[in-house]
Amino acid sequence: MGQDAAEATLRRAWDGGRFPHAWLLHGPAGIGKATLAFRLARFVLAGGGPDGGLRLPPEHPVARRVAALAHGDLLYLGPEGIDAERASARGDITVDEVRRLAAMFAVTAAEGGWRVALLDGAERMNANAQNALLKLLEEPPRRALLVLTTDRPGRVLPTIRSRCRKLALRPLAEDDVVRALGEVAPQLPAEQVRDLARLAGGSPGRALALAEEGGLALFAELVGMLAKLPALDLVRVHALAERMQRSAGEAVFRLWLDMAELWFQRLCRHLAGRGSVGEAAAGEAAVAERLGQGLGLERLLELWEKFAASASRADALNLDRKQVVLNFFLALQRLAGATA
Amino acid sequence: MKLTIERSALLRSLGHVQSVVERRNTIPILSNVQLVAEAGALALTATDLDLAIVEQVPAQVARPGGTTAPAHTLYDIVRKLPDGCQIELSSSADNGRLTVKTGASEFSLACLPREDFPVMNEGELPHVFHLACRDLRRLVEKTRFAISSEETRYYLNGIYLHAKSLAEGNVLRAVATDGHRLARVEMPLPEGAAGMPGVIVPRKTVNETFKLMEGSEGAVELALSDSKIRFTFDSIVLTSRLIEGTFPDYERVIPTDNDKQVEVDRRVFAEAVDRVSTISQEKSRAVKLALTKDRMVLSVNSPDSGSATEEVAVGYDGGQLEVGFNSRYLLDIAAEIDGENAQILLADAASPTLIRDVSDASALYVLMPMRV
Repeated sequence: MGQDAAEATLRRAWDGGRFPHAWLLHGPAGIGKATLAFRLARFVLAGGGPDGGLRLPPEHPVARRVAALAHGDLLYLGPEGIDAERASARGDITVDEVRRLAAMFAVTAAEGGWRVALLDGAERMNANAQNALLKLLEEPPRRALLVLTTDRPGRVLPTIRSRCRKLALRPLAEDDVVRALGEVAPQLPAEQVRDLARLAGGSPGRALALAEEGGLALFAELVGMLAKLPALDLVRVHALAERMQRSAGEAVFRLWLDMAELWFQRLCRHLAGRGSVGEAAAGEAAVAERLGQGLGLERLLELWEKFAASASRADALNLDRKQVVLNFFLALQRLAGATA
Repeated sequence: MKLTIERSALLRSLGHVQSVVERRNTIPILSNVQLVAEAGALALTATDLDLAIVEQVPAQVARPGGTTAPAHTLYDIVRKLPDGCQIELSSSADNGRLTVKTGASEFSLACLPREDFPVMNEGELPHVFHLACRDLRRLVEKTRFAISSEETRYYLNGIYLHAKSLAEGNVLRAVATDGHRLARVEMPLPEGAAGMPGVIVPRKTVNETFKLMEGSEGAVELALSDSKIRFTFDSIVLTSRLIEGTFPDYERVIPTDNDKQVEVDRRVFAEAVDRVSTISQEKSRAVKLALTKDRMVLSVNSPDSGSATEEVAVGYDGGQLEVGFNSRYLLDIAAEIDGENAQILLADAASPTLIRDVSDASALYVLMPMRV
């Protein structure tokens, strides 16, 4: 969905007859890397398919077995496939998991065709696991396919990266995100979908997460509170900051930090690109225009750096979260007041 | 699907297939057994993705069809039902339940669709031959203790089964090794096995086949290609993937000119090794064999726990020699020797040592000495 270009590349490689034994699909989180990897696995396990793309009808026997993870020639190592007891506390993929993969490639194919391993979130492999994987990548068995997906290719060993064919997946166009959301989450109110799509920056997965965690509402609240700068409704600011107190507020705090960062990124992009960003919440553009007048990007960035530092300090040293929130608003107010 | 089946028949078949199903499974459908009813028979299938067992049992089928149900639960239910009763199994596609009914008991089990069940595609199996269960059991029993469990050398994690032509005639050979010891057992080549590829049969397949052969006196049909092996007993079919790789050239490690020959009563020797090894440390388990004319002194010296010696009368005339072995390995090999006497052929304290059954030339074992 929305990854037609990448899919076409894979198909061309397949049709070319010399299919690489290892692929590294990389790109931002939530844009369909694992989805594409599964499509590729189904396609390869079925031994190819009709022209155009990697489509396999969902009622195809191979597709059904892949969906049940019950295909003898498929091994999936990912967030949902990892044995809870075996995964280490940090959710790493350990060397034992990778050895399972080697064990699968050590026996002949159950169904006689290709053997496929999907490593979803390859950056979660620890150093030992990555080194164990290298051996497989260097001497791949016949008709074996390894598909690695990651949103942080930098955390994968360069030696692994260099032995895979890399395929970059791009964030989706806003309309594609809207369409994707309509299909997987038809319960979302229509007026939110467009805002979510804008906020998520081309990642349906992120958009879904934002909808579930209430990120969009928080973002709208943030924009609403900044709308009248330099005037600031201090009662509301305090009420917001109050919600982040104590352990129960930690999730809200993190989400709010994310939203603040997102708002800031969008603000900078808006100012640099002159209105090409679109509004993810009513009044966002107006706030941006006002803050942008007379304020260079430089001063905004400086403010952001200070804020980010204080946020991470608060996190590391367990400082008062409320203070971080208040400081953010007060600093923006000062800035806006100085230019007004 | 709807059918009636006798309890003991169902229990026996479930017992066979459920042993393949792992107790802990991350993939739900692998905990299930597939039940397919067709024309007078129920076919039960279980798999762990590496091997699959299918067993046919006669049943009165009222409505053909199939489903999959939790193997261990179903087995436990049938086990607890009274002996001799008739069990009715029924399922329909729409409610996703398997109903097990007999007398006053009724169970309803959650099912998963049959279409999601893994398939073992055996493909073409061009080499087919028959041999007696007894012979196959012997090949497996006498070699499987030497199978390596080291995952890095995966091609040693099974028994290497292959045909070999010798001056005395053609043989079917089973070889297993873990790098410290090697077992090689052979039998006359069955008809139809000529030209078969050498295959490495994985450990689990070996063990499951062995279990199925227990107490069976019939014949077994082997069918294989270079990627699959299939064992067919009367109503049971076991199909397995093979280990992909090249088995090392084991013949190079079998010594041919070891001239120091020891002959020892198998049982006396094994008991002596077992006794003195009580002292040895858990890890190395080394036992020293000191040989002089017609005498063998077994000794273990452990700095922490003490020492032990025992003298055994042997037939030997090869000059003084001291050699060390892992006592566990010696016991494993001694256990596989059926005859009264074992023959040990040595060269020196560091070279591979040959052990064989005096009364049986078709089995031989190679053991690497330890430094003691």
